[in-house]
Amino acid sequence: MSDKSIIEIVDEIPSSGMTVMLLKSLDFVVPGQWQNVVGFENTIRVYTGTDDEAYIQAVGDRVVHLYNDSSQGYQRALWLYQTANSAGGMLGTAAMASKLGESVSFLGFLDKITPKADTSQSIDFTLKTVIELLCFCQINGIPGDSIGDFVAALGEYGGDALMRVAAIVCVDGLLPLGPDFLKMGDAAVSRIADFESNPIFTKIASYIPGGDSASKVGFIGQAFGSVRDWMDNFVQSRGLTREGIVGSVRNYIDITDDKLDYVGAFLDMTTNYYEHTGIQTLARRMVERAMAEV
Amino acid sequence: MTFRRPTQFVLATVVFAALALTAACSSCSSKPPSRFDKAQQESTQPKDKQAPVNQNPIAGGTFNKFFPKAEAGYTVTFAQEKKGVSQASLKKDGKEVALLSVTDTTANPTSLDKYKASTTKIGGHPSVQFGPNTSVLVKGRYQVTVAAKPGFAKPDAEKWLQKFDLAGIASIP
Repeated sequence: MSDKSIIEIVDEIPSSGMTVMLLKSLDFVVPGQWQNVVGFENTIRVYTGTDDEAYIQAVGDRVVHLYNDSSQGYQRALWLYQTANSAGGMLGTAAMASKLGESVSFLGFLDKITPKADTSQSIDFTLKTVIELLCFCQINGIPGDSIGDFVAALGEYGGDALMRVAAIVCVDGLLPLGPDFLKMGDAAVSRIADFESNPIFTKIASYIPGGDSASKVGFIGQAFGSVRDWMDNFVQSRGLTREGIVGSVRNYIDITDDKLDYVGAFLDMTTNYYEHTGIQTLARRMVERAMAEV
Repeated sequence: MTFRRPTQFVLATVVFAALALTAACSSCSSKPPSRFDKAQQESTQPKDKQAPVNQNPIAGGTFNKFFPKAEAGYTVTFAQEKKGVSQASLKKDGKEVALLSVTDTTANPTSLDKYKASTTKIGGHPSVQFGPNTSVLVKGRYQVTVAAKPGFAKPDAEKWLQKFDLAGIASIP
């Protein structure tokens, strides 16, 4: 788990760079939902909507206490968001440059990119979807008294959380896998051995319900099944296509090539949208909880 | 900026490496101070050196049945539920106007301090205004809060506070 304070973690959310440009380019998918709220104190000001300094102090102090109490689940949620984020590896240097607020040339790295095989990418896609549900429960508990209440809470997805799901669908689903990405996800959740050899799965397996790999993958299948129709509707109702996504990304990021699976791999390796928006969701929810407790 | 020539990228990498080294040394140099540093120091002490709090407050779900119900134009959707806290989002015509919550103050006893100066009551319980929050303290333990988003007036907050089943909350052991 991170040894940084929550103050540092939120202060270090970048205000520019590849990840921010990617998320801006996806605004057309969920218009106006995502603002790049950065900075610990600023996050408190934005979500409390007040300039009462004593109140801001009390909320911030409470957030710090809540985060540092490991039994609350917030540290684990952050770790899950970070683990789901597969950026790095070969293009680590490019990702580093992006943190400095620079953009990285697509063509300059084309020869270093190897798109993941569809079988491997579809496992990543289902895992990222399921980690989203795990993080939701770590952060929010299971709100309400019924399944209906819980589904209603999930239905409230908005802002940074909705943007993250939009990015999962676009960057980890539709772009690399094409229009059949949900069917590929359906097929993936029967391949237990592929999960067992997946680096993200091996790291997070202990947080997935189930006694062995078969039952854990079974849980992933159920969880994925519970949101795949929602994702299908998300894509259909917005008329999302690979070409449409790339067209929008191109307004922000210098992509001069049309090899769509390479574009997906490039974005996967040079951005960390999952962790970026994950920290924003975590910070917002802790601020809102602290507002109840001060 | 796009790196159009290899030399530019090499230069950027060198600059980045220098920055990374600086960052790695943050523990031996000084970070910019934060107004929340004191809370950070306190809450990273061993538990026995921290101010005592109830580690097992009442389950947040206990409070759910006492929340206001949806009514014309308004929806109430549960958003968070953890030990000692339950919170819901109040929306009017689909737009969030306030956060509704009940908490067990034994998990955060400093929240009780503000009631010492309370001179007002709502529904027979001591009430306070703190930032955007309008709150009452029920039975000296359970804090019921309407946290108003900008534009949600104080009289509205007080009205919604009274839509909680405050008597029911007072009956929680």
